[in-house]
Amino acid sequence: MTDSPATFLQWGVLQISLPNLIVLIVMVILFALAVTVPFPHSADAAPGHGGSDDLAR
Amino acid sequence: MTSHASPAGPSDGGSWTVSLRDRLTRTVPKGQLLPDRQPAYVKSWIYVFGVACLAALIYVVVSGLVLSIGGAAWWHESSVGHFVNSTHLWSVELFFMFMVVHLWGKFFMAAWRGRRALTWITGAVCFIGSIGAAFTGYLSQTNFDSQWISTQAKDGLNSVGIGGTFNVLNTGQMLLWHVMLLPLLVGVLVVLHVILVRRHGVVPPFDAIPPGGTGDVAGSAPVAATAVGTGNGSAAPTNVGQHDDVPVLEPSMLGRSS
Amino acid sequence: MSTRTPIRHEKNSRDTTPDSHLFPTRSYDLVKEFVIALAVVGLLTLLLAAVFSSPDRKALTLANWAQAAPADVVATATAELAGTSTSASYGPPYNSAAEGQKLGPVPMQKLGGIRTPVDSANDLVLTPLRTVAGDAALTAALKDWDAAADDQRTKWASDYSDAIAAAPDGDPAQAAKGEYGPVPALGAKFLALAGTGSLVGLLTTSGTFYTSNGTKPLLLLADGAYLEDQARAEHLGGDQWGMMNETGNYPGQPWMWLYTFWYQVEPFASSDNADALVWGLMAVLTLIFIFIPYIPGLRSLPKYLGVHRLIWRRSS
Repeated sequence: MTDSPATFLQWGVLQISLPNLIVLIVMVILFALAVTVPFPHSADAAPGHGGSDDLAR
Repeated sequence: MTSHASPAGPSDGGSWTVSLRDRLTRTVPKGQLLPDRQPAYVKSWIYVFGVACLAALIYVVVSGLVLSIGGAAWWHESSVGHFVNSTHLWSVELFFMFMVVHLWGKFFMAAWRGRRALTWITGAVCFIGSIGAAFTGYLSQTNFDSQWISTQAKDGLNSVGIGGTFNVLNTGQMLLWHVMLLPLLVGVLVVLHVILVRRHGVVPPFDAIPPGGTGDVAGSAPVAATAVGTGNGSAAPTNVGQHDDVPVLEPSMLGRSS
Repeated sequence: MSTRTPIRHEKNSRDTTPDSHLFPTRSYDLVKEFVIALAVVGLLTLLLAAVFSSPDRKALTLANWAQAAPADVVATATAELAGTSTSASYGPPYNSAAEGQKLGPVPMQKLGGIRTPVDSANDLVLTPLRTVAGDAALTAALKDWDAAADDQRTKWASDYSDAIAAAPDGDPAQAAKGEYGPVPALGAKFLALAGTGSLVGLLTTSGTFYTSNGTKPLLLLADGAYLEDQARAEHLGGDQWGMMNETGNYPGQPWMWLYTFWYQVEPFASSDNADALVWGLMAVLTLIFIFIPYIPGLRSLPKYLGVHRLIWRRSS
């Protein structure tokens, strides 16, 4: 990055600098990945607590 | 002198110390201040953004401390100082990025449920306070940006009558607000926020049902294995903070299927 | 389980969320998670700092201003003397020249009081000029100014201000001839003083030694057009979403998007009370944001939006 001015994008009244847009896109991607990518989990849950039917609505 | 905490009711002989100790120990259920287990539904990458935000905040503070060693003008004169300033800027950008993603996640989970309103509120106020802290940081840069931001921002503050007190043109004042006042405010809010998270635990999914019944928290204090609350007959948890056999979290416990 | 649970209706507002401590658990190493976060975020910070650095556009000095835009300096000094500059006609907290902005019927700006008194003509122009010794022409100009009545001073300065504005390129040297009293001389001397680099000191440390309060030189600088011209070239202007932006090719403050948005649209864009109105609106929206847990409808929105189903989907 330099001290030269940023590029600005405009749609009607909306205007945003390219660096800001990149930050926003990165945040949206991070959120999307966070809620979709499986989270690794340990296998320490002991088996067997059956009879879940009576717990379900 | 006994060291057990009386869980409820008046303290011994009106002792303020006992009262305060009881109050403090009841703030977080036993074993939950730094638990080594979490509810099994805590299984998504969205949950790491809170701690990522915290980590970024630590770097904001550390880089800020280094900047304060060199003084307000150091970063203009020294390449090391400029680099430290860069770490300060980027840790702030990461802090806000992670905080907003954390906020989005908490909103979509309606994480204020189960008597967690104050957790949401402290988080929201922390967000606003952080904006204020960042703003005074921009004012403290002592460069063109500071000149412009201060002369613009003064109009907003003056228009509602607080510009005389919150004088953004007064660099000395703004620097002290940035270095001392606002980080203290944000810091206190962050601590409260984290304690509240530990107190109530991570919010369950919508319509989730624990083994043994609903055990809803309406009207009851946070429950843990060894704490006595005023719960309404819900089954005691079997494994909070323990390493015993762990009932498997059945999909049916999660209520509505996806 | 395939049957769908019934939707809770808003009229049943009792929160029946179970205690999280009642659920089955699994190992989760918080400290390890925190240390990993510290490492990852630390590395990211160092990497971003090393690759992108940070912007540091040098502050404008009053000498810079005098050199780059001398006509603007003279025009600004004239406006201060005429009482027509932004600071001179601002109102509280600097003076009582105007009532200031209102939020509806409430005169918020006036209620704040004059907490930072600034007399633009004297504090920003005349007092610094009076410190200059050994300049007979300046001394004479100041004497003429002091001897004149307020009305006369205002007329001189306003007429000269108009003449500068009408001159080609706003060049005072090409201003139409007229009765401006000592104002042209004062303007020229003020420009010379600004060019020496000593003006900012006279505005901040006059009568004292230490200073950390930049109110006066900043008000003077902001009264001119040069600062704003430089800022607008970098899209920092209020009507350019400037609050979100940064100098150079850097991200700024994207979290300010909603605050600055209102300035781009009516009725705020053309309102004299824009700042107060936007503040008031953002205060309300902020309170709504903070108190979402207590707002029926809004607090139930996440359940219906369904993003939670991704977060809490069945384990694979």
